[in-house]
Amino acid sequence: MKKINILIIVLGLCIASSCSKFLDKEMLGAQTSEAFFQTENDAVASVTASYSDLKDTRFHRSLWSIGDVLSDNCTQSGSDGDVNTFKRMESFDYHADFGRLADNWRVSYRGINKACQAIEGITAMDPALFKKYDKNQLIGEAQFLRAYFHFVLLRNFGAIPVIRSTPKIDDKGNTREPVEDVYAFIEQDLKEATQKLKKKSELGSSNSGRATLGSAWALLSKVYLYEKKYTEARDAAKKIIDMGETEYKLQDNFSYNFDLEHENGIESLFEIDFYKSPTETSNYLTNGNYSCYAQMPRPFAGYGGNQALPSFVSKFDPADKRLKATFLTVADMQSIETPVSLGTLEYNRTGYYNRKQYLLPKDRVGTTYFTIPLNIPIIRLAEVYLIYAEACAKTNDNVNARLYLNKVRLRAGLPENLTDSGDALYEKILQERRFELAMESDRFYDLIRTGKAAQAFTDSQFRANPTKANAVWKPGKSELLPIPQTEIDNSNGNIVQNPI
Amino acid sequence: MKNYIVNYSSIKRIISLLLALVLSFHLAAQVGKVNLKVDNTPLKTVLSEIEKQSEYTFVYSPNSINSNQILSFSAANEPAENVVKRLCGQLTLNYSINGKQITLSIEEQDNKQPQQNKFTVKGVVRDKTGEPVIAAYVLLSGSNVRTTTDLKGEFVIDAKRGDILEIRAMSYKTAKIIVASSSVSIQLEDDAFNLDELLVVGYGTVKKSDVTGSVASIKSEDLTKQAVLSADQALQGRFPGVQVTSNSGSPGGAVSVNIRGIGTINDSQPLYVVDGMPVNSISYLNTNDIASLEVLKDASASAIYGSRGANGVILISTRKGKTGESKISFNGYSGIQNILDNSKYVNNVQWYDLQTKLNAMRSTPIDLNKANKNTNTDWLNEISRVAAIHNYYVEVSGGKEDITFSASGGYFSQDGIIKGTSMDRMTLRLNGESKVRKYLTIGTNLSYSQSSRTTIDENGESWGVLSTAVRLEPTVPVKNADGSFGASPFVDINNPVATIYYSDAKTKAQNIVGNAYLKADITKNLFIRTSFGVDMLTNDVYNFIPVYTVSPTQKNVESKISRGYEKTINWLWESTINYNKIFGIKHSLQALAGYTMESTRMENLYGSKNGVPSDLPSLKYIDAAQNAGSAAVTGTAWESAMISYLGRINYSYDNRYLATVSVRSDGSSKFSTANRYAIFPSFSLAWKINNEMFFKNLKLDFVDDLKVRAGWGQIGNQNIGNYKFLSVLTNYAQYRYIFGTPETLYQGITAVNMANDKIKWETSESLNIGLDMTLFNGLNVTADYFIKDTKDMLLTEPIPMFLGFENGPVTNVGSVRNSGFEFAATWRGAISENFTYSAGFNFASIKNRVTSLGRGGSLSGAAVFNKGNATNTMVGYPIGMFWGYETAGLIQNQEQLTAARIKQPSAQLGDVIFVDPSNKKMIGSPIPDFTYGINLSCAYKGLEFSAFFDGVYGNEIFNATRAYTYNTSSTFKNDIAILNYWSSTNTNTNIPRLTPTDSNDNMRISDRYIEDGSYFRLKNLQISYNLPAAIVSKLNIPGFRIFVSAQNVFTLTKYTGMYPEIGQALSTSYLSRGVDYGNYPQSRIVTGGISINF
Repeated sequence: MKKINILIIVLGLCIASSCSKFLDKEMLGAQTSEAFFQTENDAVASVTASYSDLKDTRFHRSLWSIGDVLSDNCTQSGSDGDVNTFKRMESFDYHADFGRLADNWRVSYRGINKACQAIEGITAMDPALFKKYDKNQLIGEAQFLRAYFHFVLLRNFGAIPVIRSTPKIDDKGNTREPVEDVYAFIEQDLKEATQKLKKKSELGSSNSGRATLGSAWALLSKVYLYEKKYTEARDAAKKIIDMGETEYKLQDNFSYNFDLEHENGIESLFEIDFYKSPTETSNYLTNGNYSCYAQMPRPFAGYGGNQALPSFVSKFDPADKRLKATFLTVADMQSIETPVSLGTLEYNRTGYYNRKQYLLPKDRVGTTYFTIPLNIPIIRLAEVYLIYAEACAKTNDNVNARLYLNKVRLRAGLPENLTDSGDALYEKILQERRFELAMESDRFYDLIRTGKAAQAFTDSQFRANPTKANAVWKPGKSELLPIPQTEIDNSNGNIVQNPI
Repeated sequence: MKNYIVNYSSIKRIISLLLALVLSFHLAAQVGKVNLKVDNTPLKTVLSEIEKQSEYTFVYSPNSINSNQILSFSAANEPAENVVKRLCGQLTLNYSINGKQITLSIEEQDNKQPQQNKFTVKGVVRDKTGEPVIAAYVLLSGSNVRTTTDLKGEFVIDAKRGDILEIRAMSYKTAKIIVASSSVSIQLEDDAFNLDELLVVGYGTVKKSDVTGSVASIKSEDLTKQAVLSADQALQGRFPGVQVTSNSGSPGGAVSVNIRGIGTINDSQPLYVVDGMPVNSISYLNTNDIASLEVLKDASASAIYGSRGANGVILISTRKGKTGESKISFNGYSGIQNILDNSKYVNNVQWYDLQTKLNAMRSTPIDLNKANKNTNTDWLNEISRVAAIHNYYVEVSGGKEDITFSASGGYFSQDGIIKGTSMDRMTLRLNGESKVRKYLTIGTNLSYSQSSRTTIDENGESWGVLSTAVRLEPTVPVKNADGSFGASPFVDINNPVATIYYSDAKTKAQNIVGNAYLKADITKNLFIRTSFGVDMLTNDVYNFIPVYTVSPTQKNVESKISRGYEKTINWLWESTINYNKIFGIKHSLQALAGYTMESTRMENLYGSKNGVPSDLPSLKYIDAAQNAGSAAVTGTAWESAMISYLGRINYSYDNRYLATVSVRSDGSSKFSTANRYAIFPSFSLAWKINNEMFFKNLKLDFVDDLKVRAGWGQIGNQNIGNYKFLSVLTNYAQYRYIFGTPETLYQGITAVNMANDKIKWETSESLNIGLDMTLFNGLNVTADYFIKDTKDMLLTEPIPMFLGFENGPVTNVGSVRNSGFEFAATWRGAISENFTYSAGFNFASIKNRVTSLGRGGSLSGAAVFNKGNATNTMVGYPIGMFWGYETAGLIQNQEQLTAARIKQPSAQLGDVIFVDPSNKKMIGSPIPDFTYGINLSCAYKGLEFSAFFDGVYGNEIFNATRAYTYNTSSTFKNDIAILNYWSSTNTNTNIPRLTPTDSNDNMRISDRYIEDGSYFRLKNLQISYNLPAAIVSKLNIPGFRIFVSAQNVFTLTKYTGMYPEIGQALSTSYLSRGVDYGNYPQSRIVTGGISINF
């Protein structure tokens, strides 16, 4: 008996020792990098992930929180708590703990990372694997996204770490690179993208929403404008104009750019796509447009967050057709909203809500704050025209400058500008940008880019707005936002803060 | 192997540092003094009087001794032994003392040996169960002559008639016997401190007195004294160095247990081993089922658990049956609980007054007419209640011949002090053992538990019930006149009563833990044991959200039903060979070798769908929901496995020197093939000083035991989640995007975490020096000093956000040092036979420092309401220290204002001065300077009283609720302290001016949120009464006890939040400890119960 016992144990141990495979546990329910980029679908999924950061609430919410709210167009509204969150920022007493800064920084870099993964993964794939999609088009899209995210960061923070390939842990100590190098990398990515991307018409409607050749040229022209490379900006914008009106054309009705029916329309060069996704319940992780919700008036399931300043609205020509499509007043709501749902407007601080991010009652049925499908336009043809006009004005082509300025003005129902030239024309074009692109998260950057911030923020009409009364613009400091404090805290001194 | 080599030099260093060794001795059993004066009294009366006054009983043969003989005798406060000696001398009787028994006999008249002549005495020493006591010392009093008992407990010694033999053995009371014949038999009594109590130390047991590591145990009575769901809660304050904190006062809420500090930012919870089965949690176990609970604190004690023991091990044995008459016992208690809440907020009048003043300053005043000025809702009161708690337990145990068993059933139920929370649990246990052959024993331990927990969103940062109850203004009615729920007209804060009302979330858990084992004796010294066990946990999650509208933001437009199932199965097969042998009389050896295999698999499935047509319970199933497009399903699975080889040798020399060496090699599926295995050694030594001759010669009679011990060991940790060495791709729903017209959804896939295929075992290396003493036959003292270094800490390496990954790679980069001192003392004494008492004190001080985070960077944690992070973890500081701006009072005058405005441009008089507004600093630590516990008890006849106090000192709490309660920029309900705000006429205050805009950002994260977290409380108070034997015997019930118990009777603290026991709000993160987001507070519990043995 005893011998048998020993035998059992010895056998047991032998069996056990032969189980070295026992410790090989495969990943369950998820793919690993080793087995990825094997099919065309992997390539598409990889690029899709990079797009998804555009509609991360934290990303697009930071766009208007900076581009509109900090400008002379708008102010933060909503509840007292919401307003107070922006108090110091609107006074240009920047604080690096401001949550929207970290949101913008974090999510932009996530998008960049995912784009890098896609670019590297797809580049290494055999072209023969691609049947339905074009390998180069996919790489080009990822390069466009990588450039776009870098540009968003550059406008906010100036010199930033540039991510040229999928980050490795050794990149942890990287530092901020000079603005010129950041621009150079953005240009390079976009130029390469223009070699790879197809035209919108080539891709067809089944691919609407993807970055196209037009998207890349449009963004490149805007980047050149920021760099004051006017010749290059003009030429890039011209590429789009030259595509002809079958490819891009101004919408006859300005408001079509901002409604549900005309998404990715003929004027659109790039926009952030949202959809009604009832299966997600977090406002951070939703695929719906939380920014729209945050800006809609309060009784309609909104927070009324981003309101236009009366000092800005009053600058509009009353004949401007864009007025109604840009702002939403209580009077407008009386005709749009049924009296029952109108209720009392709470925290209506200026009287002007963002009409460009507003969902009509018929589209709101069954909608909660995370399921709004309305898109956010990023670049429209009207902006390309204005970029072209500005670049022409700066390169002494007053004729073309006026021509394209007037295309925008005519659609707005305004008289043509037939007389201005040179600096006066340039000023008119900038003014037109302010009206045309109002509530589209661009104004703050325009003021800084053109050196007009100090003037705008000392304007007495502007200062008369209660939330702007304490605004003290500090030239040389206020142009750049502070790098998020946690990034400074955690960088071991490698990331140096902007002067605040 | 690298670990082993590296540390060999430190081992040598440590060995040379240490003289370790141990203990165990016991002075004569405590003997009562005898007072006696009798004249012409029968012997039997004298003897019975002595019996009454001492603890001895007399045994004699009535045939040889005439108990009726008349005598006169007196003794004045004289030790019983002396009295007996004189009495026997007077009557020429022989006597021998055997434990508590004195045997009288007629002096042998035919003994021809002159008394002065030595003769050989043969004796045998046994314990009370009749087992031989091996290696007991037999000393001839007044001489250096001594010997030791052999394997049969036998000894031979030369002595004279009338000599006194002293028998000492560890864990037994010392016995004395007067030599009367050449053959003696001695039965030893257990030591008062029960040093022979067998401690389970992992794959075996060791006598308490032979322990060489740092091990603490608790009596099962102390566990069951408290009304708690789970034994870990009852450990609070009981052991030095074991910090137990409730993360929530909710029934079934998580408890964090940290043994000797937070050793790692990873899972720092100890390993729980129940009857040899490692389990994830012990909440399935009824505290009444626990026969013994030991905490292995240092590496030398827990090293045998290798990879699993880095954070300490809690070993639990459930109750087993004993051979003999079967026993039935019942115990139960019922009680009530009420909320403990220190916080004080403004009432409606004060709120209205503050808002009126604020309105005067607002650019857009709020319409205060909307407020119900005369409503004064106390929200915390509205959501809390006096709640019931019950526990009932029945056990049947017994055994016959070769079979023993123990079976129990228990039911526990607790309603939460916050409405909408409750928990109940049913437990069943069956343990049995059978000796099927002379050399073969088989047994099983089997537990089944089923629990149901109802929860609310208690800690949610924005919408949590507690947090909203803290913030919502008092003028909001719970319900409006029309019966609908009230809502704030000013601010988006949910009505917490409505939140509870519409909340419908349950988790049902079923847990089966069991093992079957076989033990076979191969030879007298060698046995093998093999055991197969399973731990299976099934969670059934249910959540229903009805359609409701309380306010524009507190509403749900479409009902939603969610169901989920999660199953985790862990199985373990372990086999060990044990070899025990005593060589000669001085060398004792126990050797163990073993092999274990373990595998865990988890799989879950969650589904949800919207559009349930009504709130009928019968329709709260997914198929009843009608919105097909809303159906969502997720499911994940993981597997992990481990293989370990282990070995341990316990060696004892001459009962003076003890050594334990253990080595364990672990392989884990959590690492890549190259880094899978690691070896973890440990060594410990103990020196029982009082067994040394030189010590005996010092005649320090008050020292009963004196043992010093030292240990060093390494243990691995692999609690890092699975597959961390792989670059895993993620397809979150959030990574979808839409392309095309018509819109088509595309799923995105990407790697969100950085991978590191080079990760290897995290190692915890600890050094422990300790001392155990028993003095004055009643004072037990244990002191330990330790240094515990966690090296190669598996850390999700902090990475800058610009790398674009959601998480950095798990890397072996960090190190943390915990060092500390632990002390525990217990005094047990008796004023008379009927009145006994004891007092215990324990104290621990632990210093926690992060010594490395690798390639730089720090870890932020505990995000606070839009204000950034409240904690940071940096090299040179404790884990999760509070991190914010330092303040320097308020701006009191124009001069200060001018100075402050350089860095705070929007500052006004009465605003906060920030010392350095661009740099955060360490502003506090959640780790106490020391923790302590005090245990007092006394018993008079059947009446017992015990009180247990615990406390922490020197820690801080980050009161994150102040982000609202100190914030005047909205309509929040403010802390009462805000009424003392700064104004030109009230400058002697630390509360800034009233401001509706806070343009100076006074509310930024700063030391203004920091509060002293020290507390001292009466944790448990119990009074019980055992019915006297006379009564219970009439009732034919061997034991009947009634008791009244109270928990958290009072708490002394300066903390102004609800309750100072703040764990981790986000229970998984050690980076958010001590941050009070409005945590579910603790309760005061008063219970009464009975305990009956049939």
